Amino acid sequence: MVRGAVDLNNIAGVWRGLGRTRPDSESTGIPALDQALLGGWPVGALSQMVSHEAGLGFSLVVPLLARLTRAGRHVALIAPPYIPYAPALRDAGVDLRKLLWIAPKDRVDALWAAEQMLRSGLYGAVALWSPALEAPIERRLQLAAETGRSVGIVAHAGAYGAHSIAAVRLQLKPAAAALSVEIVRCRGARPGQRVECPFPLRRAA
Amino acid sequence: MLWLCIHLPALPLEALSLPADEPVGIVETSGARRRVIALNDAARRRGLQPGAGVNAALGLIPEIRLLQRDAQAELQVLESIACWAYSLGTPVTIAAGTLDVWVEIRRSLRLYGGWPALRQHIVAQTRDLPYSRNYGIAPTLAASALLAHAGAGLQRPVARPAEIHAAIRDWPLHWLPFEPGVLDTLHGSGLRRIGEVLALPHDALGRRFGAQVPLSLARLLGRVGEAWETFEPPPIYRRRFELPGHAETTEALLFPLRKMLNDFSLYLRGRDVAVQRFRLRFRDLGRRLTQLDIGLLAPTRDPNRLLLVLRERLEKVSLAEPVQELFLEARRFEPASAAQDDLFQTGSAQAEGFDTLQERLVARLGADAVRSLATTPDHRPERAWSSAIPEAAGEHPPRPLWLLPHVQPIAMPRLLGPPERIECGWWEGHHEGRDYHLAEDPSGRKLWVYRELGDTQWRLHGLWQ
Repeated sequence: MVRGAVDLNNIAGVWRGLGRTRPDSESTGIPALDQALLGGWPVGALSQMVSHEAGLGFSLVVPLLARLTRAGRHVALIAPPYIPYAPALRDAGVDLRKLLWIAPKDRVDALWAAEQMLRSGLYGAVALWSPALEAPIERRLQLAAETGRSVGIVAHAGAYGAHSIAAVRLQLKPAAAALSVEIVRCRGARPGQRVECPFPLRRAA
Repeated sequence: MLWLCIHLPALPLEALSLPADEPVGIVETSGARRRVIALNDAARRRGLQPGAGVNAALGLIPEIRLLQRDAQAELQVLESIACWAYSLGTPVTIAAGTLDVWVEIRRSLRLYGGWPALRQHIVAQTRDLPYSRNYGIAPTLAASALLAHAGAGLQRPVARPAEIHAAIRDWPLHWLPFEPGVLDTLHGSGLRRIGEVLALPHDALGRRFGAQVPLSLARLLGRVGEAWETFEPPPIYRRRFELPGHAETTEALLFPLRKMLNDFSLYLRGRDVAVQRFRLRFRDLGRRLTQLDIGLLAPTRDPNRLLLVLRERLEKVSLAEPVQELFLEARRFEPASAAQDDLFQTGSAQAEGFDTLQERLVARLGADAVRSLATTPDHRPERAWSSAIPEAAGEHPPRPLWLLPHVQPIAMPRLLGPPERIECGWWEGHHEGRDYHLAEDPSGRKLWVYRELGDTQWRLHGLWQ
């Protein structure tokens, strides 16, 4: 490289072309989705899953939980809409001893717990179920995920918030024998791609 | 005997939890006279000297905050120090009037293999102590106190009674433990050094000042035995703390709490125990008493960790009226593991952090909000997820990721697979035979539904995605 030249790779906002993989990501465990997301869930950032039905999308998160927990990392589920069913999670390969389920009384506590856990650096992934987040709250959680180098996943049921700074935004719909995932946004990737994630999930080896 | 005396010269000020940025003076009343006996830096910078009368102090600094000396608070701190000193040796004794704590260290000296190692231990253990302190070491209580008050420090311990004379003779005579009147008279006779007083004939001193003076000199030099009252750490820890001002927010409680927990930690270290459960109560101006029972995941004696947990609990508390008094109480103690002493805290930093975070979560959200999952061997789905009892993977057909907390009746869905019969629990008196199916609702969502045997109603029990 020429002395004094600027390395374009170091400048945020420079279009680097399609098809690269992000160095800091955790595989989703679903090859087609990994490809569309340039490697998987971004580490140190928030990803957003939106659907019209509460709880839809858990099956996208479970393979990540399985891999992280078996590697000895802790993971957390905050305010899930239903009971995370232990036998199914175990069958999917999740080490239940490494999984914490936070059932807070209200939204404030849920957000507080999410921020603490994301920021601590002790949790490989933190999934939060919540109504759409206001911008300042989203920024706080983003900052916490960045600080703790954690995968932050926020799932909410309902329509999109108009604005979101999440690095990845997914729109989920049930489909025949599959879960249909539309990539609304993924930094560095072409938006609008659609991935069919197979169902049921294969049993973990 | 070899006594280590710990003297706390600034205790009247430090025993209260005071703001550092405004001038504060501690007032002692003797008879009709009220004098300022201790000042913080802010007051000292304004030119006020300890010993000034109250009127003089107010004349110089009109906005100075003057507080009555709190002997009870001072005694509590001395007792905390005494508890810690217990880890150095026995016996331990206290003189509240002169703000001294003594501990006999001859045996520790042998245990640590000499003075340099013991000194290093004492310095390391007291590094974080939030109280100004001076040390003196000598074979008599009086001589070690004299050295501590004069600021001799840990460098030159006096090991044998015969060395006391040489160690104290060059100090100014006002360090002698005599009444001010006696000291004034000695000073007025032209004496300046302790050595000059020791050189006087004892019977002459006795005739002039009474028998008490030569007797205390004899005690100082170890020629007459001394008596003391042994301090024992109380089996239950109970402390009361009165706030100098009123705390109107729980935030404002944190500063005095930090102090209380530091003292608590001294007690724990002295008894070589840790605490897992303790109780904090506070009383507000309306005499209402609020009680917080604090539980930790693992026993600890780290004051920072205790404070962190308390802070989370306090954030949930709203104060109806300003708080006036705090009480800290612990009745049960656990054996301490060496791993939690600050000195050795390197290897398990990650695990430590994990416990601490979990404790904060539990403190704020409540124990039932922080759950871990495990499978139980019961076949009935709603009983197979509860916590505790981890079970080896039993063989069963695939299960949905979500279980509904309450089963919902639904219209007949489109069934996608053969039934799985789940039937057990009859020995408990309920007959629960169910046919479970994978099914789909009109939107395409995958459901886990069942129908009880002999019933036509379909019920939604789980979701697959």
